[in-house]
Amino acid sequence: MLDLLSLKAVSKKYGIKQALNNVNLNIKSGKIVGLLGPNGGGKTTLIKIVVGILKQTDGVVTIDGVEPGDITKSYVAYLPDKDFLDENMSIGDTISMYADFYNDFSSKKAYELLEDLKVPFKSKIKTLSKGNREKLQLILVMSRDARLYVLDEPIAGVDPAARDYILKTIISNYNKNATVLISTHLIADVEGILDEAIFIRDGEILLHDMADNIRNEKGCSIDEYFREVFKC
Amino acid sequence: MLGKLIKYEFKQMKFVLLVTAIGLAIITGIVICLGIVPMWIFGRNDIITETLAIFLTGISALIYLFILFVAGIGMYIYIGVRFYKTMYSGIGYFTNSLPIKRHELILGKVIPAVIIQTIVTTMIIASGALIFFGYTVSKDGFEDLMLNIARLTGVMLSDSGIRNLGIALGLTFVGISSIIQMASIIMTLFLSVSVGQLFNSNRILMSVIAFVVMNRVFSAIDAIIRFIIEVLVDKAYRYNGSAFNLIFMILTMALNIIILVICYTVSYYIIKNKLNLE
Repeated sequence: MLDLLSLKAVSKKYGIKQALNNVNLNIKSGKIVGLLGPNGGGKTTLIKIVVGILKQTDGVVTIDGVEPGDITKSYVAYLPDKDFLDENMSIGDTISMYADFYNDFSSKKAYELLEDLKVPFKSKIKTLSKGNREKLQLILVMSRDARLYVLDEPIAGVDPAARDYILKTIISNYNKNATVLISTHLIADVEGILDEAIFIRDGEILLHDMADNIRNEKGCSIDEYFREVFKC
Repeated sequence: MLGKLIKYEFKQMKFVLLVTAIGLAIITGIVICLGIVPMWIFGRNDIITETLAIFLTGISALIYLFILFVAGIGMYIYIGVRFYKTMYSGIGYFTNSLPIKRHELILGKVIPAVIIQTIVTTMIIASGALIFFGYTVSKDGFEDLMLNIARLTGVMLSDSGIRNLGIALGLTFVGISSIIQMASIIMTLFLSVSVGQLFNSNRILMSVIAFVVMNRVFSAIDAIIRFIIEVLVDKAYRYNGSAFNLIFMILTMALNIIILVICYTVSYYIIKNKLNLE
C-alpha cells in the first residue's frame, strides 16, 4: 500500500530555535495514528507543515504524492488547537460556508451531529459555551469525507464527558479508508483508539510503531511507556 | 472559489457598511437641520439671526468634517483589523486551510475592501454634495444653484487640469485614479499587517510601525519624483498650472500602481513562505 503521508528529512527552524530536526515519517491509509509528546515537543509545528500553513526549512512533505498546498487542502481536514470560527457568524452560515468551500463536506451529516448538542442552528457562535464551540469545530471537520484528518489536541482543555463525546465523534465519523493523525499529550484517553503511535520530543521522532507492538514489546500500556520515556 | 470568498467577505462586512451609511445619513440630516435650515428660516436679514445661523453652520460644519474623517479613516482601520483577524489570528487557521490559491486569498480580501471603501467614499461625496446644494439654495436661492455648481465644477476641473480631457473623460480619469489610490492604501495596510505578524509579540504595534514607515518611504519617493519632474519638465508646461497638475496626477497614479504591485508581491511572498499564525 502507498504511503498517504510522507515526510523526508524535514526540519524547521524558528530563528535559531530548531523546532523539527530531520523528521522522517511514512503513514499509510486507514490508520488512526497518535502523535504523542510533551508540550513544546514539535507536534503542532509538524502538523502545521503537514496541513500547509507553515513551510519547512528543509526536507520534503507529500500527502498522496502531492506537496502541501491548495490541492492537498481539498482532501486534508484540519482541526487546529485554536478557536478558528468567526464568532459573529451563525452556526447555519458556518455550515453553509464549509459546504461552499469543501466538496467533500456533508451538511446533512453536520446537522445530524449538531442535533446532539441541542443548540439552535440560527444562534451565533459567540453564544455557544467553550465546550460546545469545540464540539462544533470538531463536527465541521469530521463532516468531511477527507483522506487525512489532522486533529491538533482535540481533547485538551475539555472535561472528561466532552472528551468521550469528541473521541466517539471521531471514531464514528471518519472515512474508514482515511488516516486520522491525532496530536495529544493525554495518552490514556486516546490509547484505546490508536493503531499506531509516534513519540516526538525536541523536534525529533523517538518512536514510530504499531500500538500493539509497543504494548507487547514494552509489556505496558502506551500511556505507561510514555510516562517512562518522558519523565522529568 | 474567488467568487465565493468575495461573497463571504461582503456578507461579513455588510453590517459595518450599513452602520456607516446610517451614521452618514443621520449626520447629514443633523447638519442640514442645524446648519442650513436656520439660514432658511431666519434668513440673513438681521444681525442676531445671521450670527446665530453662521454659528450653527460653523458648529455643524466642524462636527461634519470630524465625522467624515472618522468614517473615511475608520473604514480603513476596520479593513486592516479585519484582514489581521481573518488571516493571522484564530480565524486565520480556517482561512489559510481553505483549498484555494494564495492569489485568490489575497484578491478575495482586496477586491471587497476596495469596493466597500469606494462605496463609503461615494456616500461621503453624496452627503457633501447634498449639504453644498442645501447651503447654496438657502444662501442664494434656487436661481443661482446651477450657476454655483458650474462655478465649483469649473474651479475643481481647471485646477486639477482635467478640463483639458473633457468632463466625461476627466471624471472617469479621476474615478479610476481614486480607486487605484484606495487599492494602493489598502494593499499597503495588508502588507503592514503581514509584516506585523512576522513578530511573535506586539504584532499590532509592529503593523502600525510598518505602515507608518512604508508611508514615509512612499511619500519620500513621491517627493523625489516630483522634484525630478519639476526640474525636467519644459518651462512652457511649468507655467501652465493645469497641464502641470495633470502630469502629476498621472505620475501619482503610476506610483500608486507600482506601490500596489510591490505590496501585493511582498504580501504574497509572506503568506506563502513566512506565515506565522498566532
